[in-house]
Amino acid sequence: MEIIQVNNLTKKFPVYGKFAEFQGYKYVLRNVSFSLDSEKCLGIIGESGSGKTTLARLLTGLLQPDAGIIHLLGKDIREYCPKELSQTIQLIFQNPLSSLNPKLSVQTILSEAVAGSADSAGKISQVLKEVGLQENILRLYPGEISGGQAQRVAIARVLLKSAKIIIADEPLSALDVVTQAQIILLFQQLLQQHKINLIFISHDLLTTRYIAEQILVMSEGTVVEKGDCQKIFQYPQHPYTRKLLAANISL
Amino acid sequence: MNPLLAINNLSVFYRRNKKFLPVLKNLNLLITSGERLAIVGESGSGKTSLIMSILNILPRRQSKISGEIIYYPGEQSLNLVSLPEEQISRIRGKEIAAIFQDPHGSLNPLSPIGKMLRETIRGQGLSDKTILARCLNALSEVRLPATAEFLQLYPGEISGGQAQRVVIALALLLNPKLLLADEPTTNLDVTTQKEILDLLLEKVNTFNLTYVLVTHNLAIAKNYTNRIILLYAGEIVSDSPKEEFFSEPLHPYARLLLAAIPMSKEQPITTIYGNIPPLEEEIIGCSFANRCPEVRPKCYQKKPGLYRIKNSLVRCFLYGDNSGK
Repeated sequence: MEIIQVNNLTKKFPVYGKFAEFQGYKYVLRNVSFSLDSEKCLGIIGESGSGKTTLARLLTGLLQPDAGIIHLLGKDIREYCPKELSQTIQLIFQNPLSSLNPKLSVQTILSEAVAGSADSAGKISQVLKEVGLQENILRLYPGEISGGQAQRVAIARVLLKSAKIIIADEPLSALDVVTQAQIILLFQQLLQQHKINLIFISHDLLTTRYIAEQILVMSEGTVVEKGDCQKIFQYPQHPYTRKLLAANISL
Repeated sequence: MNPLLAINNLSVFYRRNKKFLPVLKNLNLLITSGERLAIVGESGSGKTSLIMSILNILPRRQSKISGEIIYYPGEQSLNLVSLPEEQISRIRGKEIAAIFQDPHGSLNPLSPIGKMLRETIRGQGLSDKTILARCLNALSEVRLPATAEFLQLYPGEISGGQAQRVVIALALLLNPKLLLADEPTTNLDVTTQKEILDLLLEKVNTFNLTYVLVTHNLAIAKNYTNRIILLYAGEIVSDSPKEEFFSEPLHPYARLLLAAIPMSKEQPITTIYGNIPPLEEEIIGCSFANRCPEVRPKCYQKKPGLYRIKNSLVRCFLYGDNSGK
């Protein structure tokens, strides 16, 4: 079964001028279609403004499409109730510190994710171990932890929801090289152990190549190339993909 | 080559809970004129504090600085650490220019781009016509539209890449000798990143600038500089020519950093677990000892010196004091 099936997804935003006058619509996504097979990692690459984050927000129900259909686990996204949707798909944001409520302790943040379930303390303790955090982090507030630790807390929160699909939207861009490697290894471990389906959005081409099996190259709201990650990196067909790969600074 | 900047026994302390904690520890570094060097290291290693010390913009009440940063603008020498604000402000921006990570944070959001450019060259006795011509020329130098309309735009109306080009134009407008770039492309996407770094390199070569690039990205350091200074917990742990650093990385930390970069699926990455020691922690031996895979008992007892191997300096007992064995 296909985990995600997206057909002709379109999203436009109104554009206003300097004096708040309506100037028309800007199409951020145009007829985007793709699918993700079970237990695979899909990488989405493209420049700023290519529509990557809008796509992530549509897939998680944070935005409604203007046209097109999204099927998650074979079911139309419009048929999901909010709670069911949050247990199916979760989003990890780019800036870990701003995605956590600064006024809540890590304990409260994680407890909210498992509210209502039995043995919540046991589940939190288990997930903390999996993401490589110690229990003493629970009493701290987001302002007291490092960027890498905050990203781990964000991942722990997502794991507590037991969502089948996780979208990570530029999860490494705010982190340094060592912390990036730690989070990449953590994602790999989670892919193997939890059988999750990961959508990895990034403009870091080397990392995407390392972690993803399938890839989607986006430019100005459209998918310009999609397919097997290694093949596309070796033999890019679309001029935009070639331009993107040529801009990559490697060792 | 002539020295341009000599950093001698530089230590910087930040105030936390009424105590001053060391961020940079006895740093010694000689930068010669026309050199291109990269300062690399993890978050918290002291990279930005070093740049702020050179610019003398550390928060005065919250920090303490000791040692000296000698700047050689010509035949004379000036200690930037002890220079009065009046004198340092004539050097900062004019002779030593800096580009920071967040371009929008570097620009005044309430000022049009043209006004910022004009203010930079005002006071040189130039006519309005000449100032306008120089502003337009500065824009075209960084490949921005050299038009009167662009000069009227506010920073909020341009993209991150364009904003960083404006910052570069501002930095180069007064013909500096030394250009400090602190993670200039971290917030930009891959194509813009390359364009900005290429542009900076082109300007560095054209104007024969001395270039200090702060980055945590070793690929950028390799492609855009010639000398790699590796900082860890406020200390220089390795200082190598680029070729030596990448062909035979000496310090275990350098080897681990290189192994943490994803290259291909067939080459699994490894990482360094643990964190940089907190500022509060008093370190007697090697600051990397608690994360080092090649640690020896000696590493916890005594601080290693900087040992010379070929053209590199490395702070590790594996290479000196006969105690690594």
